Amino acid sequence: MSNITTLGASEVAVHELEVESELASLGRLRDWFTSLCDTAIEVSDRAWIDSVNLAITEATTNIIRHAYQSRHDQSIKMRVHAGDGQMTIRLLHTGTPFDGPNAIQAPDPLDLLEGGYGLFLLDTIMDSVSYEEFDQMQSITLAKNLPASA
Amino acid sequence: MVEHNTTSQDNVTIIALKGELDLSCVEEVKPVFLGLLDEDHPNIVIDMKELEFMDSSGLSLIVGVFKRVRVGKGDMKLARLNDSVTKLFEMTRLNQVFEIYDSVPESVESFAA
Repeated sequence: MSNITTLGASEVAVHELEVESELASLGRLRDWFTSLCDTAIEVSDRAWIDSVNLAITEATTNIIRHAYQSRHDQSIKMRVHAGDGQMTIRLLHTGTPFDGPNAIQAPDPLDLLEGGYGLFLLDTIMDSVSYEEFDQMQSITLAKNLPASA
Repeated sequence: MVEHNTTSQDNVTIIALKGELDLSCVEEVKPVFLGLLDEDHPNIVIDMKELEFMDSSGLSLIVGVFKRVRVGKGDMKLARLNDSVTKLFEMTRLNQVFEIYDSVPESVESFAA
């Protein structure tokens, strides 16, 4: 589902997809985002799309597992808008709010950790990651500069 | 969704992964690896040519299997990573830990070296 929303003085296209809080939705969000980049937003940098898809997956996985505690019957909305050289992605949910990590350290590869890479990847890929209230929901808000080709 | 196909060559088990490996399917593919850990000196190659996407849960699975293979005096190597999976290993610097090859024959031959 996509629509056009007017924000302030300028018209900004806001694209939205709502999915259920189940792990099968992860692939659906990636497919939708890739299609959106290929068409409406016209981003052709495949590496950029792939990396943002990874960030979306990590953030959504956290919502399903932690905010919704693996309940499958809840809703997640992904809202995407691109403008002024930047893309902003809001992942909206009504589960338990995240405090957000204080400081994220790069895992030492020699430790061979069997977990704990998700937040590090999210932080590494995106220019900013914030946890906030928005539209009476909880939002993990991801922002990243668009590639030069967009 | 991820598909897997297991073959063997020169006492090396080659597991080819195809599709997208995220938390929705990690539990499905885990038994494929765990079954190999019962063997003595398991030598494994994961062929990722057709693995289009992997997230941190897939990465954690690979790391976990690698640790257990090493405990069993075996080894595990990776072959034919696409650009996005390569980037995942680079960001986490796990490319410094894993042996990564451009071809399956090259990775299999490396066990004899």
